Amino acid sequence: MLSGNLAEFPLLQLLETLMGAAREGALFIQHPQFSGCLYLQGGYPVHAEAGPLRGLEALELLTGLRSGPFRYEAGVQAQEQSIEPRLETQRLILHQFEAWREIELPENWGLVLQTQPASSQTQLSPLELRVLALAEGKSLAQALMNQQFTPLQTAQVLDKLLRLGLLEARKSWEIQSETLVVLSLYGGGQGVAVIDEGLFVHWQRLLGGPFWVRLRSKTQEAALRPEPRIQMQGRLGLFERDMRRLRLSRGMRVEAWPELI
Amino acid sequence: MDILEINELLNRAVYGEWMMLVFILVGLYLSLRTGFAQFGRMGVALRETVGAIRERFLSFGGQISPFQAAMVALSATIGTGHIIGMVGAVVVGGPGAVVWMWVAYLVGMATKFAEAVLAVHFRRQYTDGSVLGGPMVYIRYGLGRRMAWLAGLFAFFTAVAAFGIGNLSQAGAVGAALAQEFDVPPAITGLLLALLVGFLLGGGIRRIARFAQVVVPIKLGLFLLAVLPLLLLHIGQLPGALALVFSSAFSFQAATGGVAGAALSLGLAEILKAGVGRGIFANEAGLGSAAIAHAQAQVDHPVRQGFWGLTEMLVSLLVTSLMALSFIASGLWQRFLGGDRVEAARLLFAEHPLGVAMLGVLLAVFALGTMVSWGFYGEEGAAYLFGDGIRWPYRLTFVAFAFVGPLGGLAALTSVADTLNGMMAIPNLIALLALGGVVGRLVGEFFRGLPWQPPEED
Repeated sequence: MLSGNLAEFPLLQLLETLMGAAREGALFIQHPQFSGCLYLQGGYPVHAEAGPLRGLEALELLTGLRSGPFRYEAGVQAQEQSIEPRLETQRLILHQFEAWREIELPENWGLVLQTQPASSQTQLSPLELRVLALAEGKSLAQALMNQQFTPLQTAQVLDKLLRLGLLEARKSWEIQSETLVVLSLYGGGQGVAVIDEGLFVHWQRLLGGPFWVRLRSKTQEAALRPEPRIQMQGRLGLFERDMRRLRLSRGMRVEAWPELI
Repeated sequence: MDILEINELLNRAVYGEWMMLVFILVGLYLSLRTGFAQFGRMGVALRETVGAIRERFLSFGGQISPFQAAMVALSATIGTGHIIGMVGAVVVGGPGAVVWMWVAYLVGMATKFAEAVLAVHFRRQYTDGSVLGGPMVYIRYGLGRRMAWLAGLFAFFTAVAAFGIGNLSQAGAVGAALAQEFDVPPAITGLLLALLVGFLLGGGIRRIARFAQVVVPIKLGLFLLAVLPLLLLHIGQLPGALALVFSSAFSFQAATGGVAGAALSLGLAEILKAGVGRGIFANEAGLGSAAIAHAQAQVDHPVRQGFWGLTEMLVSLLVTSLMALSFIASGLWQRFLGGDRVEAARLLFAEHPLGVAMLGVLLAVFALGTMVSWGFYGEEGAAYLFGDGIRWPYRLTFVAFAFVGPLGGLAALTSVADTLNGMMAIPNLIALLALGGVVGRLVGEFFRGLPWQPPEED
């Protein structure tokens, strides 16, 4: 059994070795976002899996991996055949590796893609628009495995959209809503949700930018501008006008979570 | 002149008419600076306290909640003085004293409000979550380094006074009441008190707060149980009693033998002194003691804690007023004018369905709460002067005095501590005068919805 990491043994070299020696067996790759495998028979790829993808599409995705632990087990036979074992396939694999080399996607495919407002007018093709819509809120790996377009097609479009700044890849986060107790604030202010400065900093770090605080009570939902204050742990300060508008009263519990502006 | 004579002189001064006038003037000044918050903002205060009672255990992230801090203060304030002291005020000043007590309470509300606001504003918060606050801290950090001696003086007065008003007087009252009503030997009372007080003080502010949040409602419940039957018993005389309170506010014919002129003006002075004295000293507004408790509250804005100060005064006012009305309605006051206040109270409670035993239980519970809170006040004063290392020695000394209290025999020390208790007001009132502007600014900011900016570290 052979094992290692693609960061140290690039997949291209690994396949060249296995295919050159006409090996029969399975190469298992454990990427943080999905698991993949490639079955060889007489040095030819006969079946590939990557997440939900099968066959050449799976192979296309695997050729884009630059890191991830792998292990090769000799003698393991594929249960199914999704790739024709011919010379053409080998050329196709080489072509895929070359195509991936032109693409500069972030190494971390766990990053979440977020659409960004365009700073200038940009003309997008229908394909680019569809990929943009598909990618919103998904991790890079999920976007590449969209099953509507091939991974390479998607990767090329994503690369362009990221370079244009229409998409941004951010760290994956899971923001849990907080249950906060409403506290009355006096004065003429409105549209403000006063939260503890610790919570403000925490949410800001998670989102990496300005955000709204979205509130949900039993009957209402609203988004307010956050304002950090000291000694507000577990509380949500609201001006009287907002409390009346949202039909909230002091001491009521509301669910609150941040939303990117 | 020996030390006891000096003490007597000082005692007369700090509890005398001139000092009362200072209390009232400072209260009026603070009322002006806060825009008469005790009247104009009473609705908000009630909404923020009584209206938010379901949030009573929710702190803003610190050790104790605003409610708990207020309960620690209230536990100290509502002591035997609210029963025996109130009866004493009517015995000395007649029913009209109650009106002046109310006036003093209304003015004192601004003082208590300001104390709580300043206590939170200037308090020191440490990385372990503990807090040091109260008049000594707002004097030191509000008035600056040059007035540190005044802060030290306040802390010293508090640390010693706690042994008198907060310990020997209370323990003595409990010992006497339990011995008289239930034949409990004073040594046993002392031992029980020492154990209870020691256990509670040993747990620090968290345990004291948990105790206070339980004992204050019990105090109030017991008080209602004690007073409502008396009021019901004399319900027919209540309108007359209330009318008498107002009609005898300026002159009191019976007390002066119905003589007009000089006798009448002398009567007014007596009435004023008795009423205002009770209205000032029963609720501790101006002494600065309650501010030590309020400083512990974790709250987003000092003014929010100030509202608890106002509510604390309202509760105290309600207790003293009900006590006074039940005594006046009973008609006993006429028999005891200028007489023994303890005997008057005993006779009043003799009419209670549960008998004089009710008075004993009431005094015991009232005194225990006061002792624990005052033990904490004294400890904070000592810790300000000598650092945290003094806490356990102070607690143990306090416990020892709690044991000795019911046995009696420390009259001289009690008297000196009583004087120092009155003297606590001097540095505190100076600071309140000097920092009245800060309170006014904080109130203004709070009602404009602006955030609280704690003062820079000095």
